Amino acid sequence: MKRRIEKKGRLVSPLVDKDRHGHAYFEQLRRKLRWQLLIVYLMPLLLLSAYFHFEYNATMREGVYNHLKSVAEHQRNTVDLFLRERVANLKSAFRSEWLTDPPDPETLFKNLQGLQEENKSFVDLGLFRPDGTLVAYAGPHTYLVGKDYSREAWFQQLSKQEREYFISDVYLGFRGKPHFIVAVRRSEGDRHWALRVSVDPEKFGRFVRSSYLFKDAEAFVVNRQGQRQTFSGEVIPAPEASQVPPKSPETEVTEVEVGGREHLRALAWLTEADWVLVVRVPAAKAYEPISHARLVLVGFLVLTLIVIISVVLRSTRRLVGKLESVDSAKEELRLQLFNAAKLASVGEMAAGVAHEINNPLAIVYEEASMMKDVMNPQFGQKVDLDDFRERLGAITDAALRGRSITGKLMAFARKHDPDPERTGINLLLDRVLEVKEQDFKISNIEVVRDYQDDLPGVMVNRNQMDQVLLNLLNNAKDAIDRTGRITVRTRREDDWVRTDIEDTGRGMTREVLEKIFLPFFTTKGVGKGTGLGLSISYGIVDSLGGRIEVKSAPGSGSTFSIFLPVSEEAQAAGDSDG
Amino acid sequence: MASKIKLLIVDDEERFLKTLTQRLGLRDFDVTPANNGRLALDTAEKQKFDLALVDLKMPGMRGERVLELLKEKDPYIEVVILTGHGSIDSAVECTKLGCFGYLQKPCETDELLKVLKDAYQRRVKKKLRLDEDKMQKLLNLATGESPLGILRKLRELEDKG
Repeated sequence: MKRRIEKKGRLVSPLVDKDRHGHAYFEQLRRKLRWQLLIVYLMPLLLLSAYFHFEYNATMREGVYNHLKSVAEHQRNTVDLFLRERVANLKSAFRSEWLTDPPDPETLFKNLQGLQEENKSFVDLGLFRPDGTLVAYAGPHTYLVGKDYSREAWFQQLSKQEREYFISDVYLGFRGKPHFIVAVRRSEGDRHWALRVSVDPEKFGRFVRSSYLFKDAEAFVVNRQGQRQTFSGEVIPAPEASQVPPKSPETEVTEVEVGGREHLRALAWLTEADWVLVVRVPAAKAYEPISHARLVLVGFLVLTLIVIISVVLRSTRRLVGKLESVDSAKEELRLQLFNAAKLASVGEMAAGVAHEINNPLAIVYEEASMMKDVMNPQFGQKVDLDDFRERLGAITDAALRGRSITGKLMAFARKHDPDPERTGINLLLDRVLEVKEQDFKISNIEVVRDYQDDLPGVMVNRNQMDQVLLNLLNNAKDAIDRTGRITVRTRREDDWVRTDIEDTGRGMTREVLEKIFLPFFTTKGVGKGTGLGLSISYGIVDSLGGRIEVKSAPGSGSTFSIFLPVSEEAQAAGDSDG
Repeated sequence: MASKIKLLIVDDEERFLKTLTQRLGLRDFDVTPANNGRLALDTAEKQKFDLALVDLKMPGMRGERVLELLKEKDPYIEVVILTGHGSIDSAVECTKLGCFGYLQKPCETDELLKVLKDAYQRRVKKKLRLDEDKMQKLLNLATGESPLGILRKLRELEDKG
């Protein structure tokens, strides 16, 4: 029955801290933990924020578009209504008797005043005969009376078309000032009279702009060519035709660049004229609520990030700090347990050593008492100096014997020095066997030393290794009932130095074998074994990079094999020091 | 006391054995030393001892075994243990095996002498009681037996004792 104790197996002694970590490990752990926590906490937050931001943006944008659209449509309707009313006003003012008897300027002026009460943008009012001659006029440009308008586009258009009114684009006309006209017609058979009112584009523009729903928004009317129909000044602005899409009943909202700035633009086509109402607002203004919301979101996010990051940093630092302190406390406990176990094994040994010390003490006592006896007249003995000298010699020998025993004991009880050094295993074995020599002798145990002389050195802590060998030798001795043999064998096997401690004792069952390296497991009686010896030994050998193997069967003894790596120096030099 | 107390000392410490033999010799003991268990048993085979002073930890035969075998051979011998390494467990074991006393090295002479003398007294008392028993049995035997028959039974009794 043979089994190997795997280095990383389940039997790893808890007394050996394989997980003992340095500060660097905890630093790394802290970093790892920090990143993981940050990712876990921040990713969902960032993703959610991004998602809601885009969703909100889209909704808000749509809202802004719809709002602008409705503003534009509302304004378009207002302008349409205004034009329709003017047409209606003109129609109702256009009396049928004027066709035979043109009104005097006074009457016409009253009519103009009536119109101007409705809206200040009306400039003048004129009546045209079917041949295009202005026959009656009220307004500032009286010199127009008698002029022939038959070649004017509006007049021709009005005469030709089905519809009884016409609204022109802005033009200069005879007066040389930008204006547009609204004209209605009254027919006598196929002779068409016209009543026309001219409109100041600037004042009309004011009306168009009258109701703003956006701050900084501008509203104006352009014709199909993109010429503004609402402006101030003496010159008709150049067309911006590229920006006017084909006429459509739908109001459309687009983003355009004007003067290097993004704008939102709504185009609503009028029904009364071939004009389109433009409502334009700088994008920055239109999207102000979005930017504001974004600012709030980003602010909130940054705040949350700061809180989360600081909490994560703080808690990982504290957590890992705690781990580290627990780890060092564990290490301290481990050392304490190790020392306690060592003291326990020293205590076990001390019991054996008591015998070794009491024997020389008994000799001292008896020799001294004998000398007293000789000097006591009661016994009638003669003082013989040679005899006394011999007895005193026996006393000094006994004292030295006692000293050497306590000396050896003290060597084992010493606190261990933690640095491993290069040592020959045979030397260590001899030292431990010397301590156990008397014990083995009186226990009728024969010790056979089978050393390989040219063994390479091993890197061990002498004191710890003494303890391992002592533990194994004690166990071997305890396994032997009356008489027996312990064979100590050393060999080199590849890069290992193997030390066998073989006994002819009672051996172990499989059940016992499975547990021998567990701490506090003992087959010795209560108070005789601590159950720590093998556990500690395993830990020590393991910490030196070695391993312990056991071969045992009930009735045929046990062999414990310690494998220690050949020290690197020895390996490099190829030398040996058995 | 006319004759000396016959004492067998068993100890592997030669120097101790020699000196103690000398010292007890000065004190009316007839001491025979033996430096191991086997020799002690062989000696006890050849001559009767009143008492034995036995060490426990010895190469070869252990003291406990020596005690056991001595008692087996002669139930009236009183054995005192004198050991360098005493323990409760070992004291209990030795008492069970019939030792009279359990002493630890180094032992003061007065104490050793007292225990040895007590042991000898017990042996004497046991012997006396045995003699009384023998007399009683002899009387019982004597009734209705021929002189030859009485002699024969007496020899049987001696052999058993």
